[in-house]
Amino acid sequence: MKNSRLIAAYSFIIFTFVILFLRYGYLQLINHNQLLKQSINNYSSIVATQPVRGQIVDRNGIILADNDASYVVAALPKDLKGSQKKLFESMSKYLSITALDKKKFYATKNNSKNYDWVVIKDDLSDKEIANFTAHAYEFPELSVFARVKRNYPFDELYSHSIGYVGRISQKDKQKIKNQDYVSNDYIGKSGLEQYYESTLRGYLGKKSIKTDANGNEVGLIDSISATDGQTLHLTIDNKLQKLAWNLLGNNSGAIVVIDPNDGGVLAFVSKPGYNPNWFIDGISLDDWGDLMNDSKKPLLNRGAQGTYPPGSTFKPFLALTALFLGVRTPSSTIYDQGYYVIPGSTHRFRDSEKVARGKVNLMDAITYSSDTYFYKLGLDLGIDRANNVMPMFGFGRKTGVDLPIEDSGLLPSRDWKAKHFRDDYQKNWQAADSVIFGIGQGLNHYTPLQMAFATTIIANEGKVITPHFFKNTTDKNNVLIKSYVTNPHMLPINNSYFKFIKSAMQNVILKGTGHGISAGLQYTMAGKTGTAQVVAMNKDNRSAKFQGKQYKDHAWFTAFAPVDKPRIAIAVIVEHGGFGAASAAPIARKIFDYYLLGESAVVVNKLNDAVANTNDDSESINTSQLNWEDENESN
Amino acid sequence: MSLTDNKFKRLKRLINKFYNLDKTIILILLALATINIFIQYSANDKVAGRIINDIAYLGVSFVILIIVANINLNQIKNWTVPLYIISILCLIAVLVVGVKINGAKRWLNLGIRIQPSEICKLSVPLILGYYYSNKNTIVKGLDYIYGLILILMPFALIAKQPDLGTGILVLASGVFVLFFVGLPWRVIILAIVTFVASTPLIWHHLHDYQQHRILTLLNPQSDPLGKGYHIIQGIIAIGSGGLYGQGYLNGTQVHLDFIPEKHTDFVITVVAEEFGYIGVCVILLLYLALIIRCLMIVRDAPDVFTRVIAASTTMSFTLYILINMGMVAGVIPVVGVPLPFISYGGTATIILMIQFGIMLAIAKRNKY
Repeated sequence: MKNSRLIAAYSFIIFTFVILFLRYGYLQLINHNQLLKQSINNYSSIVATQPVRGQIVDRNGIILADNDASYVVAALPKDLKGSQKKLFESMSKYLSITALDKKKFYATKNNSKNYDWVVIKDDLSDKEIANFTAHAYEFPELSVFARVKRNYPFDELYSHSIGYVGRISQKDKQKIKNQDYVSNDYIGKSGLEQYYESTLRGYLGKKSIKTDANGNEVGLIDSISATDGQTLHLTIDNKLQKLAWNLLGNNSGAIVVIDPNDGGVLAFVSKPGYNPNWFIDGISLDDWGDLMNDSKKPLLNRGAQGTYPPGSTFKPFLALTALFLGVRTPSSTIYDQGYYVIPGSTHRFRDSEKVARGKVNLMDAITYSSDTYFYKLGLDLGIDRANNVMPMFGFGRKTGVDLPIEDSGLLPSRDWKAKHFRDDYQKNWQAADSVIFGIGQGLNHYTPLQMAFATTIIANEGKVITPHFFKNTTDKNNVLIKSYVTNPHMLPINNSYFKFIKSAMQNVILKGTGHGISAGLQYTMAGKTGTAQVVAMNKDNRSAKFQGKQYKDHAWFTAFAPVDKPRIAIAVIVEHGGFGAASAAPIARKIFDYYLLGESAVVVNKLNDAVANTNDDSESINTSQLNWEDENESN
Repeated sequence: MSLTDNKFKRLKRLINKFYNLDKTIILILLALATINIFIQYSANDKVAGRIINDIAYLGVSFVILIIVANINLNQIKNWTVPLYIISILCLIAVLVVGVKINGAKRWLNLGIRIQPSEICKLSVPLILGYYYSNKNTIVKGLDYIYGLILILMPFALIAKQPDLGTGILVLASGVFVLFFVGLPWRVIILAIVTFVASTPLIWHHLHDYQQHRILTLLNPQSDPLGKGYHIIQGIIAIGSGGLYGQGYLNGTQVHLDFIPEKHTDFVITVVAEEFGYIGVCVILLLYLALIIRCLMIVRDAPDVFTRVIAASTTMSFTLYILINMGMVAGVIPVVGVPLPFISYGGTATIILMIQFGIMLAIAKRNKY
């Protein structure tokens, strides 16, 4: 054999070994760190473990929002390889799968990671569980397990305060900018569930698992356990809430009850409500359509977002403003001839009671709700001065309650009018506007929450405490974590003025427009009736067309008790309830009886109802008529 | 002489049959076999049945090694022609009644499944060595043509299965013989130029999966979950081993199913991931030592037949290592070639042992 052949053979061998030593050295020594990282990436996945959402309970520990076990059929996205259409077909032999189920499934699947369970069908009935698990071998990719699901045991009772949780959406994710959620997670969507989301939710745990190439879990690398959410204790009194709800009967309306001592909301009723349980896993289009198209607007939070002209319930606050500014003194009187005429004009603003009271002082004007007195007061005060003082009572401002959305109502002003009207006449604040403002009609409108809050300021004689639902939070072992701390401030108004208004409002109950509910009263009570106009009636539409209930005015009643050391304040609005004294005030009386005297008192008082209702000493609705006449003249 | 004496003598002769053999090669092969068992234990995820099967293969192949090493070389010469004919007939049989797995007909079921193309790795160099050793004159042009025909017949049959990897190894084993009997350089260069020039034509005739393998080698990331997957996962396994490795039985790439065929073609990933660069170097150095010893045997071989067979075997062995380890490390397209002595036992291991048995027979003739 020639040497050249051997040299060639040696060269080939040397070449082979040099290549292999270098290549493996390059991969294992130089590229080691990078490739090791890829290897770790290959086998490790991070799976989130869910915290248990905190309960929401009332002040006595009654559970208002809880977590229940719900049986679901679910799959991991990585296991769903075949046609899902076929899967649904074969599944539907054993359980019903609706179009909504499918829609929800595709929606969650499309933004799920490989290790987030995607629910195909939830809330399985016992029969479905039995049926399906017996045939589970046909569906190796599916699992049946219990999942914790939010439950609102009182259904619609708290729909507008507690709200509900729902599936997290892309929009939610952008809003929260928090990575602490998995793709099919629940998040507070409305009400206190939304406002106290971070408190209720807790923190996700993280489990780092080892998986093989097929994605099967083979071991645990390490884990951080989830931190469960805190229990949220509300200031709400469940029994009071139920009572208030029932007292509204079939009426639409709202009742806000606040403890004036600490601002805690004792009851917050907005009727009609809706069942928040429907929303948890997505509401069906039919149900949603029904809620949207319901003329009673069950989705509207009347307590914090429904605004109504305050009517006569506004009068004590106007009186306070007038006293504070020195526009009136407690003893100053006017002559009530049953109507008011702006000097230099001829139009008569009529008193709703169509009586001439003669000489009337401020005390009587409130007690008997004299419109004439307040027409003049409105004009004398003027809208600019009202705007300087009345926001102190929360008018035109948000109360700061712990709900995600509330309406600030409207305290009208020259600026506001200039901005919102085009007509040259309407653009300008007219004297007639001030006159109407004086009896709480016209442009201004506020939420029942604002009215209840303003009432607590009178009850507290100038001490302002922000209303709130939050009482405290506790952990799983009932150890206190955080209590609500009130941050009150005093209004710079002389205490004697408040005392004066309080006694005027007490007179309302004792002998004034509200005395219909005073029978057998075992504590002192101060209040004010009111009427919020619904349509501006004129001579034509007073005809049959506008005789239906839906054109009846809304009834207001605001009150607090006991007068000296108030423990409870309330604002009630009964939509289309007519006169406040007739429909709204008796509700407040029963709530007060229950709260101040106990359950038995409410039963006893039912006997007195008949008596109380016959003494229907009501305001009438001439203000609306006046509006119309006013417009006619100005045009 | 008593019966026991007789027995003792026979035993002594048997032991001598072992002791007369080249101890360097035997020791290296034993070392590799030991490594094989440890690596296969890990690569088969400690499945007892498979380990026992592997050990049985090793045992059988060592027995075959000793037997072949003690066969007279002239006897071997006499068997080359029948062996060649049998291997060709087997290849034809494969095409007719072969067992089809994953789209390729490569196996014959004779109670145990055998792969006739593996036999050609043995029969092709032997028949060529035999053919040229009978030439008393200098090998001329026509002799090369005959030799080429002897090579291309089995190559074509194997390529038809299709099994390009084994086909190339068979082709190479024959070409090595031609090279060592003196195939002129100008012919070699001409062949290389022709090959390069005809690349587009060859490319055209390659199967889709073969084209894919070459394409993904050039850019594995182009198809990380498809054709590039094997290459990428292999490289990750090798690289994650680092210098010292993840520790025996601790390789995550290997044990969590990221490596396909980890006990056969990709077995070096097990070594690399669990024993690191050090483990790879130990294997490479054992191979190198074996090759150097073989080259010494080639140098001292007594005649053309033995020299050519020994040289061709050494070169083929080197080529197996280059193709397998190069493929797994991503420098050569994925062709199914096992890593000598480390991959799970099979026909390839038996054939390899027969080749080294012949090598030992040659060494014995050399009288070390």
